[in-house]
Amino acid sequence: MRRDDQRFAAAARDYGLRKVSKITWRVGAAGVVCSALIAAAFGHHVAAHQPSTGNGQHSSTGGGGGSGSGGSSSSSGSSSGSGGSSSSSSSGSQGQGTILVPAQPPSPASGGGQVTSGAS
Amino acid sequence: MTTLAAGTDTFSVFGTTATLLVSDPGRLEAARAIADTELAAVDRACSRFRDDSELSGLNAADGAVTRVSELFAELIEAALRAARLTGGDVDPTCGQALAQIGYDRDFALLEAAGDQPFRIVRRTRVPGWHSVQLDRPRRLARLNNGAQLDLGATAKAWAADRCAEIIAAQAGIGVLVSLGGDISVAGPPPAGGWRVRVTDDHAASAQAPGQTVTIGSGGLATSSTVVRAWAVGGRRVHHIVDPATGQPAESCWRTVSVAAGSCVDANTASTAAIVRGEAAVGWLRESRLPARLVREDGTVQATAGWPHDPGA
Repeated sequence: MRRDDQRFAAAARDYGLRKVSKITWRVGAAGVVCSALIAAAFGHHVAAHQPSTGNGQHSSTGGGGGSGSGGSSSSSGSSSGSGGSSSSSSSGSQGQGTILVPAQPPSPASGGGQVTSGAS
Repeated sequence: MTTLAAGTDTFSVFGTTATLLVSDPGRLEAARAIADTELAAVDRACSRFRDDSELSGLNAADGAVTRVSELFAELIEAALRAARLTGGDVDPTCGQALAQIGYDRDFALLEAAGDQPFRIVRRTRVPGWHSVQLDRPRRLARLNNGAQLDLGATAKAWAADRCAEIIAAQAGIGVLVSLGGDISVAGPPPAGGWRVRVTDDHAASAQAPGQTVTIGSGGLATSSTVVRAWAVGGRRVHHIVDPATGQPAESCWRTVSVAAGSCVDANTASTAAIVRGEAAVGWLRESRLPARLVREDGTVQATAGWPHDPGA
């Protein structure tokens, strides 16, 4: 009888541990999923705003920049407003992440031009 | 392809010269009307020298959230995109820096004033494009850190793209729009393409020292330190500000011309190239942007398929 009680107690303990373990795993998984959902839902509101009061930032697309500043930034170009007064979205009207290359490079021509490209 | 680009119109806008070339001369008047409407709207939105412009209002808002028009939001967005793509070398927050080096009024007035008195200007980084907040869907904008906008590096080229696109779509013709040498083309080009003389100054003649090329699409823009320059205390300064110093860029290039998929991208690249100096050559090559770079001594370097200049 006493041995049965011990077995029962051990089985009950194992059952409880399995339950706790399962619940813990599910809560953890749910947390991960929720975190991902929250990140996806609000990620675009925190588009890499940096105070920018002294140090320059260079994006990877600007690599090789020679303006004398370093660092890097992948900001979307607009940033979230503080105080809830302004948030932001980022897509540019051009929408591209790089400078658009021409369909064809210029071709050589002789004589004058129909129009002049120079600084103004 | 059409065989001839016969219609030409030249007029003043944004303190510079605009040229319209159209493939159908019969549509020139309609094209001009479209251009006038669009350019007036852009001027109202982002002129730094008009008290009633949206840009002046935003600059004067002292960091307050300001509602902006769809057009102005697009212009700000284009400027921020240029900043992002150049790692901040083309920065829209150079307004205060430009004013400090004397460019605080329309350039015609600045030129007429002659040599300006000497002033001490601190070398300091501009507030930076991250100081500009734009809520695109709600059309709200705010400037932080005392930033003052100047969209000079992108607005003119952006306007050229917009005009060319609308004219080609509405008039159904091939068109070239040049705003002070920032060139955008749309619609079917003439046979052989649009002939463009690339030189230092957009106001120079079609035979001025430089190189003639043809383009059939996209944009071509030129940035230079020799034009839109003035004197302060006997020292010559120009309008291309290095955001890292808030001073006119000290570049090894006198003039840079770039061809790109759009005029605003071409101008973004040409301006960045002036700021970057020697490093610009590698960057333009990596970016596959055909460019013509002219050193102070007149020697020419080309990148990414820019045609050889037999005269160089």
